[in-house]
This record gives sequence, C-alpha cells and structure tokens, in this order.
Amino acid sequence: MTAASTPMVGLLYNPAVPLVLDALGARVDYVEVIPDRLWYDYGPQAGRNRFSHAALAIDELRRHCADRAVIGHGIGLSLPSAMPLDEAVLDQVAASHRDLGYEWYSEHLSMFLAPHRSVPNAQAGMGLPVPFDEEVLEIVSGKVRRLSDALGGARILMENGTIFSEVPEPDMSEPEFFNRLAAESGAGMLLDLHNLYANCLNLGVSAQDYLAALDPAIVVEIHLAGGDRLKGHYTDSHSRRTPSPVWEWAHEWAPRFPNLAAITFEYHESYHRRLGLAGIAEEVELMADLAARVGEARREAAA
Amino acid sequence: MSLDHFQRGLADLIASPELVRLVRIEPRALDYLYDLTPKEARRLAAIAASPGMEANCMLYRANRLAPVALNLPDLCDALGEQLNPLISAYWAAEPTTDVHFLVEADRFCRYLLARPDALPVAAWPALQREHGQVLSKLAASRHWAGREIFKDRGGGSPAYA
Ligand SMILES: [Fe+2]
Repeated sequence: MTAASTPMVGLLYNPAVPLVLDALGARVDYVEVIPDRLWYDYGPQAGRNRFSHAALAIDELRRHCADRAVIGHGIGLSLPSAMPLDEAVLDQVAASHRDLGYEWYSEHLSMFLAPHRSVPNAQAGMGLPVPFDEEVLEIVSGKVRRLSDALGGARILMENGTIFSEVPEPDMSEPEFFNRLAAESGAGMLLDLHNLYANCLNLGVSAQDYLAALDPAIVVEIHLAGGDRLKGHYTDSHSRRTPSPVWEWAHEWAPRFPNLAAITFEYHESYHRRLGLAGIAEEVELMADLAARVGEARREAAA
Repeated sequence: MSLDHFQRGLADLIASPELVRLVRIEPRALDYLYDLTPKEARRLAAIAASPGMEANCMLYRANRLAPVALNLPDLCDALGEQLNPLISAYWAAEPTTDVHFLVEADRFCRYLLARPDALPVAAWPALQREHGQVLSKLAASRHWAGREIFKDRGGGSPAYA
C-alpha cells in the first residue's frame, strides 16, 4: 500500500459469490473470506475430531483466490468477551491463513460469545454491545496482539458493530475506543458504514460527528451493505444494495483516509436472487468509481 | 472480575423476554442473579429498559430459529401453532446455541423425541423423516473430522505493511 495507490474493491465471499466472480472476473480485486464458514465445529468436547472442513467449498474458494487477493474476516473469536481466546479456533484461523494468505485479518468489536453460560463459551447468538471502557480496551488490545502473533504478524483490523441498545456511562466514545485501540495494539479499523447507518437510524448517532472523531489514519477498509426495516428498527441484514446516504458518506470520507486499502460489499447468499447479478455488478462498478476517486485524490495530493 | 457477569447478564437478557420484563419491573433482581458493580447493574437495567431490547430479543429468536427452519421446514409446518411454545421451552431448557446448524437441528429433534406427549400426532412423520435427513447430513459433515486439509503455502507473510 503506497500513499498514491488506489484501494482495491471486493466482495464478502459466500456460496453464491462464485457466480459473480465467474461473471465479473478481474473487476473484483479480492474476496473476503469468513474462515469460520470453512469448517464445521463440533465443540471442544469432540477433542481431536472437533473440526471437520468443508473440503469442496475450500477447493472452490481456492480456485477463485488463485489470481485474487484474499482478506480474512472472522466471526468466531469474540475478542471483547471476558474470557480467553479459543486456542483451537485460533489454530484453525492460522492454518487457513497459511493456506490462503490473507492480506490482513479482521474481527468484530462486538460480543459473540458470552462467558459463564450453562455451557462454557456459550454462543450469544448475535453480536452484542460492548462497554467502551478501559477494561475492555485492555482485553481487546491483548487479544489483537495474540491474534496477530498467531497469524505471523498479519495486520489486524477491528470492525464497528451495529447495536440496538447502547451500554451507558462509557469511559470513552466508540471512535475514541478505536483510536486508542489502534495506538495500543496496532489494530486498524474496518469501518462498516452501513453499521454506522443502522446505528444512526436506531440510536440517533450522528454519522458526521462519529466520522470526524476517528483518527483518519486508522481506517484500512470500508464495508458497504444494505438492510431492512423491522418493526420500527433497521437491521444490518445484508439483504439489499447500499442505501444512498451510505454512498454519500463513503464519497465524502473515503478520500480523507490515507491508509484506506479496500472497499467491500457484503451481502448474504439468501438475498442473491433479490439483488441479482446485475445489481451486484453495479455495486462493484460504484465501488470501483469510488476507489478511482480516492486514488486520483491521492495522486493529486502527492504531486 | 465482574465484566464476565455483566456480559453473561446481557446474553441472558436478549435470550429471555421474561427476564427483560422482570428487570424492567424490578431492576434489583439483577443483584440476585449476577455479581455486578453498581455501574454494571445500572447499565444492565438501562439496556433492559431501552427501546432496542425488543429488536435484540426478536433477532435472538430469529437467529436461533434459523437452523430449525432451514433444516426442519416440514416439521415446523406440521407443528403449526405448537412450534412457538415448544421451541421456547427448548430454548429455556437449553440456553446455549450450537454454532453448527445441523447439530442445533438435531438437538431440537432429540428434545421433541424425549417429550412424545407434548408433540401433536400429525407432526411425527415430519419429525422422523427430517430428523433422519439431518442425521445423514451430519454424518456427511463429519467426513473430514480430525483431518487437516489446509495446506501450508507460506501465507503468513502479509503483503500489507
Ligand atoms: Fe461489516
């Protein structure tokens, strides 16, 4: 990544994405892989037989990665949870990295696993809000360093989440948490603008205040997506194309992030038909336009 | 350390609209259930009282229902109005979701099989047929268990610096 380069554009990989890649070819610079979807996890009680890999899916993925960059995007480690990392899952993530060669690896700043449920490391079932406190900052920083070590020094990014209820009385704001996390652990930020959009609609967060409070240098990747309204709330369901306010923020802010290296569209395979190949192709073109604008601005600034 | 109790309480709240109702009426109930600092207790009570709690509980149910709806569609149809009370009772009895969709579907089938009196007669054929399908898919998903299929191709020296 050089200061005057153009960010890559890519798609979050899902079982329907190979159809898009076959159609769009080199228009898609990279795929973003969720390694947790490459294996079945039978839990710690299964011992040596805990993980069984989805071999055919991995083969198909390798075929599409041959001439593309790959980014790792995990959902299984739940860094903010007040419990140790699951070392067996970490080993699998590291093995997938040695095979696929992630440019960098991201996780979520949300809680996916809850400690001390009836079964250890109970799955919470969804991403839950995190207190933006010194204590959590220390936990996440330590795990970011551990994760990076396990991945041979790979860069780690943390993604902002979408939540329906805020944790009150935080030690710091969410942007401040990301800035401090970057300073203390080296973690960059995966800025999900659609998650921010959902939080604006559901919680009244000001996107402009949020984005202005971030250290622009920490943003390495942007996520774009679309969602649905559900009984008075807006959900990050990855079910539609990116809404126009999100595109406006992306155009306004992306050129201000000097280390932005990738722009990703996320959708869930169950909505592939609703989005349509043409719709996804248009998203890719719009991302390429945005990336070109960022590259142009960088070259002008460097000249 | 009480952060773990706070996080467990939060996970319990989204899994239980009953607990949310209780905490909304009597926030001190939290002190009997968890080892919390006064600030953590205030936080959990505020989250329980927040308008977003309905969405939290709704999404939790949708996420837990997904493996059952996906793998046992005919059983869900056959259960009809009985699905809601039966699956709620299952979730209360087994509050931990399994990340493996087929394991989760199998667990629900086993829960029903252990309670034959609670199951409408008309739902038996769908339960037996779809449970059988889940078991054979589970067996197939175990094919690579314990075998390493990732190859070391030197990934680990990231291009990004
Ligand atoms: Fe995202």
